[in-house]
Parts: sequence; structure tokens; C-alpha cells
Amino acid sequence: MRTETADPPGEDYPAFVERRAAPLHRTAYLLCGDWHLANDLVQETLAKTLRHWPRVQRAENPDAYVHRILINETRQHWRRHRRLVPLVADQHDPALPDHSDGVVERTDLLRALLALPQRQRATVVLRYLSGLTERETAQALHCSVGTVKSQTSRALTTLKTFLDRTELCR
Amino acid sequence: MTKPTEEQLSEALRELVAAQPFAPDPAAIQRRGEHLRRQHRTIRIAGVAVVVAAVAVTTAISVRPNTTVQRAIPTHTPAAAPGRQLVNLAASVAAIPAQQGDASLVLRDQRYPTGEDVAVYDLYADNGRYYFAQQRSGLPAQVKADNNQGDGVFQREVADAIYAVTGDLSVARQRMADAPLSPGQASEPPATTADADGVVNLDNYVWENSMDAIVAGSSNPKVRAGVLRLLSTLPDITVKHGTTDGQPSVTIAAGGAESTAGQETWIINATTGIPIKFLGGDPDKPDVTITYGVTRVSLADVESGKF
Repeated sequence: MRTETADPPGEDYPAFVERRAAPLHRTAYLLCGDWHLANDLVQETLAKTLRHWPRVQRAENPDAYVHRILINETRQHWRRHRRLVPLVADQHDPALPDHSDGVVERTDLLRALLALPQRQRATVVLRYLSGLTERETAQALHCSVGTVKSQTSRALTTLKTFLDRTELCR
Repeated sequence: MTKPTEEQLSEALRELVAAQPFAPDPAAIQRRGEHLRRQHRTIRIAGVAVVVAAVAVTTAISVRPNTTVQRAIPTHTPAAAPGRQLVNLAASVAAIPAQQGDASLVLRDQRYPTGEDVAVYDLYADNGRYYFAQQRSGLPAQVKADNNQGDGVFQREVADAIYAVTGDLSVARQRMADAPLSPGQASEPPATTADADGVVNLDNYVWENSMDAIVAGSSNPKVRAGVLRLLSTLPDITVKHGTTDGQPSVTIAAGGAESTAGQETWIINATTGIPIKFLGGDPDKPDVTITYGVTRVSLADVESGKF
């Protein structure tokens, strides 16, 4: 499953930024849950992409490479600001969503996603929003393909109840 | 897991983020990228100059009779031999007797340039369990309910730091880099110093995970010593002696190879190696300053409120 366009060969940096900025912004938002922070993370990610641009161009998969930078940026943020209050502490139970309207459904899904452990959350976002393969996701997260499989399975199990209820309410 | 669930999730995630516009500032990004390039070059050039200077000093002194290389390197020269300084400190920290107890209680006070100040409590047990409370008084209930929020990573990072005290440093580096992985699983591709992709390499992982370990095992001298030995292997590290909050301190800063997210600085006690502060960003104008208060405690005492 690939939801984003493939990297055109020989693409220059401005064109890369123009094509990749918005998808990266969406990915960053689901990683951190804050649009303003997502802006900062993506701007910094793209600036670091420029610093490493010759390597990005040579990379087997520039998209996976840039996701690695974004994940590292996000991880750095988690490290510096982690657990001011643990995220799960102010989330209500994701297994009991309020189905009053579609906005609430989306909010519940976001809460459920953000309540996942960091690695599970990143795995889900890279696989199912960014459309990275299992191998690309493993490269971005510095883990094995087996870990991606197990993290994905655990995350889907957690989110499945929510997704099933959401589907029933449509 | 069925395919429909995966497709449902993919569709739901796309819906979640569909409506938000994003207009990046290409000129600002370009400026920032060029700045990072220049900064990286400067760090590299400075590093090479320091190594050349250290070699010159060592070579000059080594011809003198009865003079050791270790004594010959002037300690007042910033970063002349940062690795060696850390190894020496590690040796003295490792010799500190272990205190009674089975957990590190850490007061974590995070201050931001906006004036926001948040002080919270982390309790890292030697058995890998991790408890959190916003107030010190909230910890007994967390321990009593065994509200463990650890996922095994801290425990592996602490174990890898202890291994580094006497173990082979090359092995210790790889183990620390791979600490977040599930036991028995290797990264794919494996993290190496000469990472062809360049962005996230072994040095980066060693730095990142060692930062976790020195806090999670902050009341254990073996953990602190192991972390110092691991940090001694990093090529762009700088080490500076000084005084912080009235304590003799050592400031350890990550360079271009270790920290991919700008500057990061640790300040530790110059005798015990106990972390005092972490500075994120420019150390003269950090975007976050974390001050640590470390105590050795026993879980039983915390649970009963006697700590």
C-alpha cells in the first residue's frame, strides 16, 4: 500500500520540498498531535534534508530517509519534553468512544492513536498514513522488520475495537 | 489481523489529517539548512584541529623521559582529549560504593524560555519498572498499584551501561545503540558508524540512549561510569570543567555526529557523575533546561511513604 507518490529520479531540492512538505506535515501531526509543533518538526526536517541533500539523492529510498529524519526530530522532542504529564493520563478510555458525531469520532481516534506507546504510534503512522513498506518503516525506526510486524499487530489490536465501533456508527 | 482493519485505519488516518493546510516557508528552510551545513563544517574542522593539536602535544611530550602521555595532555585545554577525561572520570565514579536501595528517585524540573516551569517525579526501579507522579506524595500510590509505565527499554539501557564499565566498548556501543529493540532482535539494517544514509548513525544512538540510561540509573555509580565510558567513544564530544549550582561540574556537549537535533548538553557532578542539568539547544540560550535531583531509595520505603 503506498499512499504517496514515488520519488522522481534527479529531483531538485525545491521541488522535493514542494512535493513532500504537506505529506510530512500530516505525518508529523499524527506523531505529535499538535499542528504547530508539526510545522516546526517538518521545517527542521526539511532543513536537515538540505544539509544531507547529496545523500538523500543517493539514497535507495529518499522518502524513507527523510522519514528517518522526521522520526528523529520527533524523538528528540519527546526526549526534551516527555512526560510533563504522561499522555495517557489525560486521555479517556479509547475503548469507550463517544459516537455523538463525526468530529468526536475523529477526536477519539486521535486520542487512541496518541495513547499508543511511541513506537507503536510511529509504526502505525508510517505504515498506514505515509504508506511506507515494512522494510522502509524498519529503516526509519531503526528496528527489525519483525519488530514492525509485532508493533503493528499490537497497535491494530488496540485500535480495532475503536475502528469496529466507528464503522458501525456510519 | 484482517485486511479491512488495515484499510479502515488507513482511510481513517487520512480523514483525520485531510483538512489541514500547510504552507512551508522554503526560504526559511533553505536558510536553516545552509546554517546547519556551515555549523557542521565548523564542528568538523574544529574537531580535526583539536586532534592535530593533541597529537602534536603528545608527540612532543612523549620524547621526554619519565613523562606519561596522560600527564602530558593539559587539562585546561578544552576538548584536547575529551574521551580520555571521561574515561578517567568513569574509573573514579565506578569505584564509588553503591548505596542501599533498589531504585533511583529523580526530581525532574523542566524550565522553558516562556517561563513555564514543571517539576515532576520519576521513579526508576532497578528491576526495570518505572513510575511517574506529578507530586512526590503521589508516588506511594503509583508503586502500591504497580502502575508500571516502563516498557523494558530503560532496563536494557541501564544494563548496557553497566556492561560498558568493564566490557568491550565496541560491543557496549552496539548494545546501547540497539537497546530500544526487542531482546534478540537486530536492527535492519544494522546501525553502524559509517552509516551510508548518514543521518542516524551508531554515535547518534549511543548518545541518545546513554542519555536515558544516565537518568534511569542515576543513583547507581556503575551506570554513570558505564555511560561516561560510552560517551568517551563519541568523536565530536566536548568536555569542559566548571561549577554549576555550587557543585564542581563537567559539561559534556554532543557534536554534529551525535546529535541530529541541534546542540545537546549534559552537566554532571565532577566527582560523582550524577546528572545536574540537561540543556536542549544553544547552551547559552537553551530551549529547555532540565534540572535533576537524584536520590537512592527503596521501592518498599516509597510504597510505605517513608522516603
